[in-house]
Amino acid sequence: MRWAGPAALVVALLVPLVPAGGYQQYVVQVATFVLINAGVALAWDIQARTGQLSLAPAAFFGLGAYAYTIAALRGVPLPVAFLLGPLVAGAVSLGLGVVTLRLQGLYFAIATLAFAEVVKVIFKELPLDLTGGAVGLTAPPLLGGHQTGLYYLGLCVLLLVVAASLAVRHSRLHYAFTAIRQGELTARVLGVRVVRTKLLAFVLSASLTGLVGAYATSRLFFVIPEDTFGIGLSVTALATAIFGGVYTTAGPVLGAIILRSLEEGLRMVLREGYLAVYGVILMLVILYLPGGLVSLWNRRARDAAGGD
Amino acid sequence: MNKLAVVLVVVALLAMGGTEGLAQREQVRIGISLPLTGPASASGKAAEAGYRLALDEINKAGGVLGRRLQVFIEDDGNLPAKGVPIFTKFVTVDRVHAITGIFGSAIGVSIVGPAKLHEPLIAMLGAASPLVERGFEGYKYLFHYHPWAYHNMEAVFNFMEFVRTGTGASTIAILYEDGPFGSAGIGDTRSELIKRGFDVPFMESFKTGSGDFTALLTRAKRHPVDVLFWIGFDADALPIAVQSREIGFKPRLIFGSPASWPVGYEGNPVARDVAGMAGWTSASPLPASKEFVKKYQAKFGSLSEEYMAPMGYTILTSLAAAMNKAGTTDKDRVTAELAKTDADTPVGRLRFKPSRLSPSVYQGFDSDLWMVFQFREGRRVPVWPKHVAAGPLAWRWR
Amino acid sequence: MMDLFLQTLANALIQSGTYALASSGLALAVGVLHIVNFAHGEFLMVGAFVAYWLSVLAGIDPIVSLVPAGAVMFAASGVIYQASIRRVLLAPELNALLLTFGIGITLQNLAVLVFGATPRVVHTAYQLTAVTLGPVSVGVAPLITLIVSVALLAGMYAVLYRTGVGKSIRAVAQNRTGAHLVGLDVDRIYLLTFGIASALAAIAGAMVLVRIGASPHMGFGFVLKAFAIIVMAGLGNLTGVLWASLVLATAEAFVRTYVPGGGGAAEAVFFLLIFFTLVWRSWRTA
Repeated sequence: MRWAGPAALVVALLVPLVPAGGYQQYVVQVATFVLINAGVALAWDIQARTGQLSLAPAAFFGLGAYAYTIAALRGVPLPVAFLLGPLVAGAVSLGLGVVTLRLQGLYFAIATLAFAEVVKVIFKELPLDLTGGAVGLTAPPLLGGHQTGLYYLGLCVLLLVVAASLAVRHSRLHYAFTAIRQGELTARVLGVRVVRTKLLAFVLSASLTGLVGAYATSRLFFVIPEDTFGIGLSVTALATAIFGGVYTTAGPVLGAIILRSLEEGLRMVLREGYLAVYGVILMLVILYLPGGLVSLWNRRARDAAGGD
Repeated sequence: MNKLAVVLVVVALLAMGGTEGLAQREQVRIGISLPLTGPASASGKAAEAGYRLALDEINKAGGVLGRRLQVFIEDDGNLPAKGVPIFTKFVTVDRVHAITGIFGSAIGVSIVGPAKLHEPLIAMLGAASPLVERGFEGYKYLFHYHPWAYHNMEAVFNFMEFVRTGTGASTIAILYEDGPFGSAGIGDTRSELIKRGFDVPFMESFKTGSGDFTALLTRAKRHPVDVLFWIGFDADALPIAVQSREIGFKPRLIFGSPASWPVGYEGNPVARDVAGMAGWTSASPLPASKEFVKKYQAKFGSLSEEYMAPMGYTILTSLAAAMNKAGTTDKDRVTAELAKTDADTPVGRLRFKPSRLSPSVYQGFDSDLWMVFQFREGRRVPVWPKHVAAGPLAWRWR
Repeated sequence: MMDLFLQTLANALIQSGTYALASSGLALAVGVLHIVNFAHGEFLMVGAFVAYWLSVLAGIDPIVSLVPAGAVMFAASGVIYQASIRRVLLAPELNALLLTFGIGITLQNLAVLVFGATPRVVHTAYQLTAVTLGPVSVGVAPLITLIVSVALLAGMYAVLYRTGVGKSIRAVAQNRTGAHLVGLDVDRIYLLTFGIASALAAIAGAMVLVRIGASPHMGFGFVLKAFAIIVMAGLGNLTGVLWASLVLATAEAFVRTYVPGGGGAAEAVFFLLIFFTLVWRSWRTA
């Protein structure tokens, strides 16, 4: 399946040009949201490869979104504001990563969840003129809100995340990540620089998530603590990555494409109760394809599913 | 024989010409974006019922511009991630002549971008946040039917003054949910109440649905509170009333302003004399409302207390009427006609004026939409304003 | 001054009962089956609705409905376990997460389809009654919740540490393979434990119904806090659930009562406490 990647890229590049008639803009918009979901899911996956189950993607997404919005509203040139997103998210994640180094499994997950919830409340309670409080802020969109332009920008963002994922996958980091995931103590004994590697994964993942967050603001025009920092985002990222196939690059991306399309499709067919069907499909896939969707044609993923 | 043949041929030709003409002319299409799933679905479904009732009526009366009105109802879950693509789909795929629905402020803000791109005619059902109002500044085709948040607050102030006139009450404790619905302009609300001579010794936020108010109410208890005013959601109604009793907090009036109340609340003794703010109740004495209730029951059987139902009904009815009067779907002409609306609707008199913060936007209902009722004997009894009151304000004396 | 302090303490104690009850089932599920049950909140919701319909249709008080609510969920969870969960126990734990997440979404939206999204409340005689002890006043309903939750946790403790079945469950929790090797039917024990855990969630739901109401979306808020509580208590530590609930409820109550603007901050305090406890403990054992 070597050609799958480049083929997908070509398809993605052509999406806005597809002669779908009236459906054109609608498709581009849904595709843009797919890019956002894929970005967050894949960024989460990178960090999940070290065995850390983070429930804080929403915090970094939100930090990136807010950093961009607050900077943009204060007159900072948009491209600079855009880069502030990943910077802020990355900086904060470094602190969080260091503090939570010794936490494992569910403990780590809940600590990151607690962190995300605290960040949400902080933003709700901060003075209105600073961060908009609970009411939120409207954000000036990049590229003047140009639909197609924004789509390609989103594609670039996703490609950046994909590049990061592939870079990790095809370097020695991959072995370090996997070793840590399978047993931190053993990894250390084997000579893996555990602390450094875990932090690298965490900060990389958070920065990328912050970048996606800053980008997403241009799509939503609006940041508000309840939704921007909402745990729904974190859970969706997780679910998407697992559904598509964890610890792979294609998995989260594929998961995002399929899940979003499924949702739109189901909604058009069954006006009510489509979410219940959606839930059932999630269940069925994970029961019969333990390696996620990717395992349909990736034997390595199927093998990995047999206990890691 | 000849004459008959001629008549038959003429009639046949006319019929053919008529139907062909019908086929050539386009059907009028309207897109409706509503939260049919998720926490806001109670309001969304109520609105849907209202829209459908109006749709039936409009089509039975001949439709719009002589053709059947067609609507596209889509579920946006009150989420921008769904609402924005739906909006775009309406404009680019379904090519609607007007868009309505849009319940939440978050979606209202998110569609500003796509709206400015295509400039469709929008008849907005909800969205009270000033962020939406400012977002649409300069937009020429927005009819905002729902009151803005500051209108809602004005109604609250007016009601409080009514209470004070009748009972001498002057101390208000405020509980507000910490999301955008409760927090919008809450600081200004407090200042305004103080300016009007009220005492507000306690104002705290809470997380909606959490169900634990004992600590906050314990603190409120330390002041001689006349009115407990809370802004939240239906899930908060029972805990607030019940837990006040639990810890012995006894304000003389509990006044809540959730968009809807839980099922079974009116039958619960704890709800006795609790006041709520609503855009409408089925007990409204307005003739247009009584008509609406009759038609609603005929079509759906059960009765809804959700004001979103008559709102949806009113919007579609007024839109169709404007299009028919304009004689075209051209948005400039329809806008001109719709702006002239002066009608008696189930929720009151509908007239458009320039919106306060964005004068190009047409604002429909304002603080006059709101009325206050009290739960009494398992029903909602309107107590304010006078022209809809069906009973006196029940007030507990110390 | 003292009055306020005592009342706040009372409020905290009462609230901790609800938290402990809602978390106890999850503690069992996570501690024994080692799965992250994201559907726990929805099981709670099912219990609330069972109690609701029994109250509305047959006039049965929710306290009495605790038993049928628990029983219904016990049976339902058995079906869910056989159909899906047992297959995922050997797979990476992430899969269980997605599976239970899917179960939760399905249940939640089925409830919306069937019942509608509007919350529903019931009327009970004791909803308006309060018990007064000097300056302190607490409601009868939450007091009963506290008693039920302590009783259930004590019962759970007794079963786990004083009965044969309990020993088997503990064995399986400690070492699944070892337990299998000594001849324990691991699958049956998992089934039983999952059933008990789900029943506990449903019982919590029935109690929540009295104080708040039943709605399809109610589960989510509880599951978040429940996870936080059991993790703070320490996975597998049952009595810890009571203590963690108490500590967290006390912090929330005091912040809400004494800190101006505390209403909003209480949530943050809840999670901050958990964050710091987890982090501190992790560094301390280093």
